Amino acid sequence: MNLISKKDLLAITGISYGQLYRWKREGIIPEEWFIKQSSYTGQETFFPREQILSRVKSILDMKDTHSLDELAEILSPNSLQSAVIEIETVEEINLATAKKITEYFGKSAFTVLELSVIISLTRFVEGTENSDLLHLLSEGLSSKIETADYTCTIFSSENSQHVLFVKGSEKILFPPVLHLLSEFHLAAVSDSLNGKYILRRN
Amino acid sequence: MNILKLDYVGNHSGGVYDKLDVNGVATINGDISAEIIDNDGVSTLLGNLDCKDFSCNGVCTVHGNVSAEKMKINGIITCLSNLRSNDFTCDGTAKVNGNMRCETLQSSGLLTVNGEKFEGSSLRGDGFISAKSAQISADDIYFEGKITADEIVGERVTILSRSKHIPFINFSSNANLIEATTIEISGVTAKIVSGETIRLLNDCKIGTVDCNGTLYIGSSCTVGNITGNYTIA
Repeated sequence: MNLISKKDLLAITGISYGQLYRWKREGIIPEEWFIKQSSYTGQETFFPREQILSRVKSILDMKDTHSLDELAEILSPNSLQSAVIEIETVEEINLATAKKITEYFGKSAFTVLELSVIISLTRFVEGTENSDLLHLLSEGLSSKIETADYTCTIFSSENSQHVLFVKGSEKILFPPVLHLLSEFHLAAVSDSLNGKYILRRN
Repeated sequence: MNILKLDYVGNHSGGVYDKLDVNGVATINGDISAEIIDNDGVSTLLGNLDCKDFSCNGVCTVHGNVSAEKMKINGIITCLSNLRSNDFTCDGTAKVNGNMRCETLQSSGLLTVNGEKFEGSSLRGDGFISAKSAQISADDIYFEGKITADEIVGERVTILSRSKHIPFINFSSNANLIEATTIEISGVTAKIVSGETIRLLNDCKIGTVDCNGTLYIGSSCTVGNITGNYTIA
C-alpha cells in the first residue's frame, strides 16, 4: 500500500493538526485511514496516499461553502449509492460515450459509485487502443461494489482485457502471462465527483 | 404534562415522559425518554436514556447509552455504554465505560472515560480526567488539574497540571501522545509532543518533541529528542 505520513500530509496540503482531527471526529476522514506503524520515536500515523490526498483536496474545495455536517453527508459512503447523476451532465465523460453507455445499460442516471467506475474506465480506454469499453464497463458495474474503498485494476490476458476490484489498497502481483495495464483507487474519483456534481445539484 | 415521579423504592418499566423526577430508589427496566430528568435519588436504568435536560444530584447508573442535549452532574453518574451530550457540566463524578462525545464540556469534578474515544469541540476543566485508553480529541482543550490519556489531540491543547483552587499544589499529567497546532503544557509526562507552536512551561518530561514552528522549553523540563523545523522562542 502506498502510504503517506501524517507529517508529510500536513506539509503537502497545508492543513493543521486541528483540521485533521476535526475532520476525523466528524467522520469526513474515515478512522480506518489512520494507520499506526512503528517508528524510531515510537509510533507514527500513516494514511493511504491517494485516498487521503484526494479527500483533503475535496474538503478544502468545499469547506468554505458547506458546513462540516453537509460535508460528512456528501462524503459518506451512503451517498455514493443513494445519489444519482445524469450521465450526460458529467463533463468527464464525452457526450458520444455517455449516449453509448445510456443505450447499452438502458438508463441515463447512475450512482456516484457507478460513475466513478465509468469515469475510471473511460479514462483508461481513451488512452489505449483495441479496448472494448462496454465490455469493461459491464464487468465493472456488475461487480457489486458497495464502497469506494476499492482499487480498480485493469489487466490483459492474451487479447482480452479485464477489470478486477480489490478492497482496500493492497497491491496485486500478476504472473507473467497477465499484464497490468492500469490501477487506481475509486475513492479518489468518487470524491471529486461528489464535490462537483452532488453539490451543484443541491 | 406527562410527569413520572419516583419517590418510592421500586421498579418501573420506562417509557416516554415530559419530566422524570427520581427522589427515591428506583430501577427502570427499559429505555427512558424525557424532556427533563431530575435525579436526586438513586436510580438504575437498565436501558438507554434520552433527554434534553438531565441533572443528577444523586446517584444514577445507566446500563445503556446516554444521549442528552444538556447534562449537569453534581452527584454521581455511571454510564456503562456510550455517552453523548451537547453541553456537559460535571462538578461531581462521572464515569463512562464506553466512548464519550460532548460539544462542550466543563468539568471540575472527577471524570473517567474507559472507552477509546473522548471527543468534543471544547473540553475545559479544572478537576481530574482519567482516560487512559482514550484519544481525547477536541478543537480546544484547556485543563487545569490532572489528566491521564493515551492521546490528546486537537487544534489547541493547554494542560496546566496544578490545582486551580489550592496554590502550590501541583499534579502530574500523563499521555503517550500530545499533538496539536498549539500546545502549552506544564507538569506533563509524555512520550511524544508534536505541533507547530509548543510551549513546555514547567516540570515536563517529554521523550520526543517534534516541532515545526516555535518551541519554548522551560528550564525545569527534560526532553529526550527534538525533531522538526523549529525556532527557539
